[in-house]
Amino acid sequence: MVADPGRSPAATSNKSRLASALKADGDLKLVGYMMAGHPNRKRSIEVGKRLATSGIAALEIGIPFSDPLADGPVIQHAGQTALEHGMTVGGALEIAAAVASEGVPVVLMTYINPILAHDPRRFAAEAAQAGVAGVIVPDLPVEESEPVVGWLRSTSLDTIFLVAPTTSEDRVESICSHSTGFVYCVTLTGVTGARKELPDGMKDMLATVRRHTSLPVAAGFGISRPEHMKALRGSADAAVVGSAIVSEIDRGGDPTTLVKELLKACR
Amino acid sequence: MIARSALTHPVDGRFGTFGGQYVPETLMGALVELERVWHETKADGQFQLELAGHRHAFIGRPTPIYAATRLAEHFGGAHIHLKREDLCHTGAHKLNNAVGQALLAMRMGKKRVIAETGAGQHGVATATVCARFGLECTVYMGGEDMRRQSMNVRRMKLLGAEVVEVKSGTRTLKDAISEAIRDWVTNVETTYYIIGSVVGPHPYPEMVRDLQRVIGDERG
Repeated sequence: MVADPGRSPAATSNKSRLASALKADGDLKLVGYMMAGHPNRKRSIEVGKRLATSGIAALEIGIPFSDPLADGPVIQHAGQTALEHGMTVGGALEIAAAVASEGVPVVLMTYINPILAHDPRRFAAEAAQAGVAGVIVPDLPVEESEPVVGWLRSTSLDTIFLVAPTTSEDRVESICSHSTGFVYCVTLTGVTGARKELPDGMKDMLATVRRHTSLPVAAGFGISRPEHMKALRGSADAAVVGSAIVSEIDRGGDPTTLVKELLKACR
Repeated sequence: MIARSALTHPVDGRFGTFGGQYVPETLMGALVELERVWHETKADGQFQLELAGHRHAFIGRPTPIYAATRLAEHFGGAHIHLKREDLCHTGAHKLNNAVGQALLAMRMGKKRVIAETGAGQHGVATATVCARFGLECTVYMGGEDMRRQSMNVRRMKLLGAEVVEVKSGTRTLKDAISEAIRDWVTNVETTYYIIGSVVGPHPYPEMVRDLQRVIGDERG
């Protein structure tokens, strides 16, 4: 059954900064990703501020966790480096606040364990205080989402859930109705990390998700190249680029060069 | 305080405050299917008969109990009885679970099995059942554990399993589990993940519990 978008919580969040920032307006929108505290606190704030003003529509900031089971080698390494340099949830929220002050919508991405360890109610309050727009928790399926999502919503944070290629259509409906801000489509069956080509079934999945939501639909995982942007135009509202940006940061380069190249392909 | 019923029967995939399904969405469909198939399978008399046959002829059950009188004397007269799970084939209770889950993997039409292992006993048990039933086997093991338990690594390889060294994090069991889950996230449509302990997302803790209760059922 197709969800009635008029009754889903998604449609009621008209004030969502994310929903308006990510809706494609002819151009595909680009969402960046960086790991808080990678390679260290100081440089992470510098890079975050540069990314914030590079033309991206939103920036995901990862909070490092010791067991990131949805992440491939690049983001695992970034998280481990950040943890070795003493990064914490509190420290990551400070970085998020500094980056959000540049005006870009910031989305925190982390696992459920650090949120529970920090105390979800306190996490929600501090994230909202830091000017964060929304939260993505890749190991929190909709069935497990309460009470954490309740705390996040109570402070007006958007809660973004993920749809995977293995998700059945009835689950798509439930995931869309639990999401606010945007819906995140995992393009491939696997973990994060740049891939050469995107899977064949991707467009069908994006179309299925669109039937169940009026929110912007972002595609992520594996996306790293200008030709991927071209492939997503018209199917997705936004593309999330993570590992490719983190690789640039890791080798000490300027990730905004890659962002500019990708943005050209979004138009 | 956890209610006793919550300790014996999971409610919504939880044992009291423990349990749940904290995994990427990619695996949710597979877990829902696994729970359905496990409940159907454990109620199937034909399966129980088959399992009993493998327990007897392959694992070597029932395992004996004997009174460790000298140990009892050493500790000042307590009654100490040992249930000899070390006499199971492969030398540990791990095979009780691995046999049951391998039968389930075949029932679900999966030809590739993955597992995590710490000291190596579950890895050896899984490599053994895969050799027994003709399943492809990959075992994830922390680099630190591989160094400490090199004999078990050799056994797994002799049994035809591929042993993948996990170099992330603390290079021990929890990192091996994370790496096995990453493999499963990537290959979920063709692969069955045999978890060896009462850990991981529901229904794994319930399945491992159900398959190990044979030790207690043999009492008396």
